[in-house]
Amino acid sequence: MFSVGMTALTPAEFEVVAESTGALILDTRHNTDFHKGFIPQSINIGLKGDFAPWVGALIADVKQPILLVTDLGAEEETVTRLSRVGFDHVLGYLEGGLAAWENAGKEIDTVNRISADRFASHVKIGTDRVVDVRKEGEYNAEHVEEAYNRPLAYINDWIKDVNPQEHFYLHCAGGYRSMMAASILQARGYRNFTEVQGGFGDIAKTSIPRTDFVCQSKVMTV
Amino acid sequence: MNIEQIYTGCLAQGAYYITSNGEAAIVDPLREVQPYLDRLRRDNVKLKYIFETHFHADFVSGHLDLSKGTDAPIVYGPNANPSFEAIIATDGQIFKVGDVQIKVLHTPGHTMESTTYLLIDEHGKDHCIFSGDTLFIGDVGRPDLAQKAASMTQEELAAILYQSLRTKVMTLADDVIVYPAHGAGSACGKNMSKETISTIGIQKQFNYALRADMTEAEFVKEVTDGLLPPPAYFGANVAMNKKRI
Repeated sequence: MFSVGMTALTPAEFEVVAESTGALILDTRHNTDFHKGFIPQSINIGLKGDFAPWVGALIADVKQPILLVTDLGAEEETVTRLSRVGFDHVLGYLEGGLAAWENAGKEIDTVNRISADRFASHVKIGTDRVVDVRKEGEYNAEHVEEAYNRPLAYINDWIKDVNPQEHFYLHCAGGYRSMMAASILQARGYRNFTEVQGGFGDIAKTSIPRTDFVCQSKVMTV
Repeated sequence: MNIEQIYTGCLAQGAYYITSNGEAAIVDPLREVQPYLDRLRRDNVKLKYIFETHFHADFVSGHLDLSKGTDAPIVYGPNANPSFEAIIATDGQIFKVGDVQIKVLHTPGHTMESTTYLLIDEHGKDHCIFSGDTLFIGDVGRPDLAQKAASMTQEELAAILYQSLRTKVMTLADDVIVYPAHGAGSACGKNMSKETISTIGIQKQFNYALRADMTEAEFVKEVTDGLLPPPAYFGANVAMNKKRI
């Protein structure tokens, strides 16, 4: 099973395969690298984290053809971890990683990410929309005042209700889940948001007002 | 006798490698089986059985590849209905591995075929359980996943889990070690502890679902309360684990 997926593709080949098969481009690099540059339309699920369960939760169809962008040397580990949850249709990986893609002059995309301090100095609580993609329990314990809870696990449900005309701030607990959400949003054409680096962990160190009051109009009913 | 917990952080999953007097058993193997084959060769032991605590939903198990590579039979508890050849054990059945015995404790509830394996050591003493998704450290298995397969509601399954725990697991001695299939971070429970090993005594003291004065109705309510919908791939993985692939 390890031979499958271990096909190295040059940037030109990678692009052809992506266009001809409609494969999902899965980028498993750390969120601090991903946001600075990635192949347009790719989805970020970091290998360092609960990688396999998130792949299973967000991609859902185990037969989905996948193309990989990983840290150099992490290709085989990624294929192994995908196979553990039944995702066997890896068509290949980008040889030389994202650097090779950039050197080949191919297009890249970025995520608009700001520090928690910058977020704290810009956000207007009660006016600006803040979307917290942590789990309900984490949100209930404490969250930014007036923030909406939209757990990442349900993004396929709530993404339909995102207003593409209205700017929002996006965060999770530490930047892992919000970058997955950011990549999915951008792949679906939403660019009207700013993602907060370091998530609630860093936000809690600022003077942003926080609360454990849960307003029913700001949580999802599932 | 030697027992090794092989813990995979990405899935918060524990597989178990047991050896005794030239023979070995593996409980709930992950899909890539080379690490187990390497251990068998290193220790120069023969794999006698592959035990599955239930049909896993959160990962693809390596039982078929492992069985093919070693000729060891696959063992499930009562009610299991795989489409490949396996030993479907009866409740209380005993399997010998070297000088130790592994006893089948059928503990339905998380799923109807869910089984806990009790290891009895060389001296005839109850040593540990491999509790699958029946008992976790700090939690118990979610009773909502097998509703369709069992044609039962999550409340009915929870009530069965309550009886399984009270009659088969909580009756074991306090010093029996608990080796669960998952730890914190797994979607197979909702409130698991960071620890990956405990004892029956400690769990009776600290696990909310095992408290002495808990009624069946309280148990049903508390284990079904606050359950998140299962991740989308769970159904596909159950199907892969039941089939010959």
